[in-house]
Amino acid sequence: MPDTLLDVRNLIAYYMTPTAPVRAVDNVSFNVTEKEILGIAGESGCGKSTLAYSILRLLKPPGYIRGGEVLFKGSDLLKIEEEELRRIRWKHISYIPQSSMNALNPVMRIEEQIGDAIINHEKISKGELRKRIEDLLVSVGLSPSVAHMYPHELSGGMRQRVVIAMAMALDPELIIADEPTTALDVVVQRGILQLLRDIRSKLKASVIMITHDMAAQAQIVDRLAIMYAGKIVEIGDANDLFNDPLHPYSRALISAIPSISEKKKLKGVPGFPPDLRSPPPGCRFYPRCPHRIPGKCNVDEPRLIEVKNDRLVACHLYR
Amino acid sequence: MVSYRKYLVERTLTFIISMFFSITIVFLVPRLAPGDPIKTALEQVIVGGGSEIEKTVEEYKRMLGLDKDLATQYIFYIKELFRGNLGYSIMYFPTPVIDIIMRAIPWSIGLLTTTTILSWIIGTFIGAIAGWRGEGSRFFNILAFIALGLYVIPYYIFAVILAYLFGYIIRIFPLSGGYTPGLMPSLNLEFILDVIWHSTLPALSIILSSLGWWFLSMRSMIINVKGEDFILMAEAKGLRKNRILWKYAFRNAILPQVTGLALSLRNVVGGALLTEVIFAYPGVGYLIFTAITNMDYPLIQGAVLFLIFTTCFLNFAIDILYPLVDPRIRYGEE
Ligand SMILES: Nc1ncnc2c1ncn2[C@@H]1O[C@H](COP(=O)(O)OP(=O)(O)O)[C@@H](O)[C@H]1O
Ligand SMILES: [Mg+2]
Repeated sequence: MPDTLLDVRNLIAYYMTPTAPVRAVDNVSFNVTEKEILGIAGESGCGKSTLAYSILRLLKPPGYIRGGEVLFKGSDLLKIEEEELRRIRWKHISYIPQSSMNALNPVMRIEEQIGDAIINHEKISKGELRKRIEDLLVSVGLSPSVAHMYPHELSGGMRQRVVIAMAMALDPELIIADEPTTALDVVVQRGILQLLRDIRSKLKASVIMITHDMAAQAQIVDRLAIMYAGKIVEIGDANDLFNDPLHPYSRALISAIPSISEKKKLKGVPGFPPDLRSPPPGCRFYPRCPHRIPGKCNVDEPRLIEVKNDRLVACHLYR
Repeated sequence: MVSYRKYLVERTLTFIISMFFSITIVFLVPRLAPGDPIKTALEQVIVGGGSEIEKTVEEYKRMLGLDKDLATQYIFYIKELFRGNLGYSIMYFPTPVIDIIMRAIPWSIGLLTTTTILSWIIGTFIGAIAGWRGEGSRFFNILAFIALGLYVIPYYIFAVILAYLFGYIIRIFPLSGGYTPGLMPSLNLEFILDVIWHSTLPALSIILSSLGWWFLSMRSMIINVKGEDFILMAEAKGLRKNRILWKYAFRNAILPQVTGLALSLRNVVGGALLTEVIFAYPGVGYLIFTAITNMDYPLIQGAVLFLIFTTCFLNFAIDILYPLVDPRIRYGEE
């Protein structure tokens, strides 16, 4: 049994609004073991980024954490002192944000920005630092000369590579990547995915890979969690889940993956996700579910339970 | 670069046309005014017989070219302007007007440059910290409120208040002049300290009136920058709050602030005319004021024209230099 690195328990994160709180992350539990890549998939707006911010304790007002625990190697990141948290950040957990377009400081050279992360956590000589930064850039397929450039001199794909290099700078145990490919055009996306796959084998870190792009998920993750309207509805081994999705939402999502070989028509998931300020009672997928059981699914909230080996599903169809 | 050339031509033409109109108006006004300003002025200065005055008036008119027709006078006037000749002062006769102005200029520029920069530094730094603390800090919210007050009050009001406060109630600063009368203007410590001492109140009034704006603009800039992704990223990197403020937030927010400083330098000559008058500070503003009270027409004309020229020129210079300096405009062209 591999060791658990991150254990998220009953995490609740809301956004304050004038009417009612947006229940963006509502009682989410999962764990990440060492050296595994966990994918988190779900439609836009289901709370994936909020989940990432909450784990990193970077959620900004009007967002706030209402409850739960984020245990990283046993200590609760939500409770530890600011200074202790500061030392864990990047050294142990790094982050690739949703839009790396704006993740780089426009008035600092690339070397300064990567260097900033390194010297903040390690004692290192100037020469070694420069060498390290150049090696990092090369490892993500960039020329070492990028070190002296400013962000505006780089293309979107290059910036994304810089951010990936930065995320690996301190050999962290966990990398949280929030939609690392969505802001890029398709060709560049493919390059970044290839890069992620390449470094995956060299990497000693665990990765939480967030995306609404199921095709991207399919290529690199070990385990997969499906999120819907602030909740995890299914989680399990990625291959198994792709081949045999159990939750009706997972099925809809996976059958919506465009497949070139089968020339299948892109179906999408019919209907719209609920307003998270007033989600439907019972199962949140109820209004869109083709297999719903009236009188049950819209009354009882299904709990996430293990229905077969390493597969948890929150659905009344499986009990 | 084509658009910049067009812009340059446009600015240059605007500058030339405004100068042409200013010169013409300054030339015409005293000549179209009823009465004979020279005679009126001389009657106040020269005590004595009428024929004496008549002769002096004739003398003056010939010297100033006033015995010719208007068109000839105008051409003569412009010719002399280009030679840097603004005529002769009446109250300091026969000192050339340009010499008197040149003596006043360093006072105005010195006072305004120093106060603008000081006020910019203070306002920018306090504003940065206030913005970083955000809207949640009570102390800084009160400060922002005060800054807003400073910003909306006209600058000469501060001069009046300070003059009253320190001139009548707490008499620790001199109320008028640029230095103690009798002291020889020179570059020794005694004179410099004396100048600083005399400049304190005028300087303070200018600083107070511009401080609010620098504070508010920097504060809102920092608040804006704080929401940027690269700040979140810096936080995720585990950097200390202070480092994030100065290396990430401040360095970005300062760019528009520097632009603001450069733009405000267009006012270094004529930015505080009334302050100079209130404190009898020997700059261009006070010079114009004394020239008016003494009906020294050539001096009024010369000083006003000079003021218009420097202000127009600084505006022009900043307008044409700015696109070359601001990278955002440059990148926009690529
Ligand atoms: N600052 C905010 N204030 C109010 N609601 C927010 C705010 N930020 C995000 N939300 C809401 O929270 C929900 C989850 O957002 P997010 O975590 O960004 O989703 P995802 O990353 O899956 O697209 C969305 O419904 C979104 O509208
Ligand atoms: Mg998101």
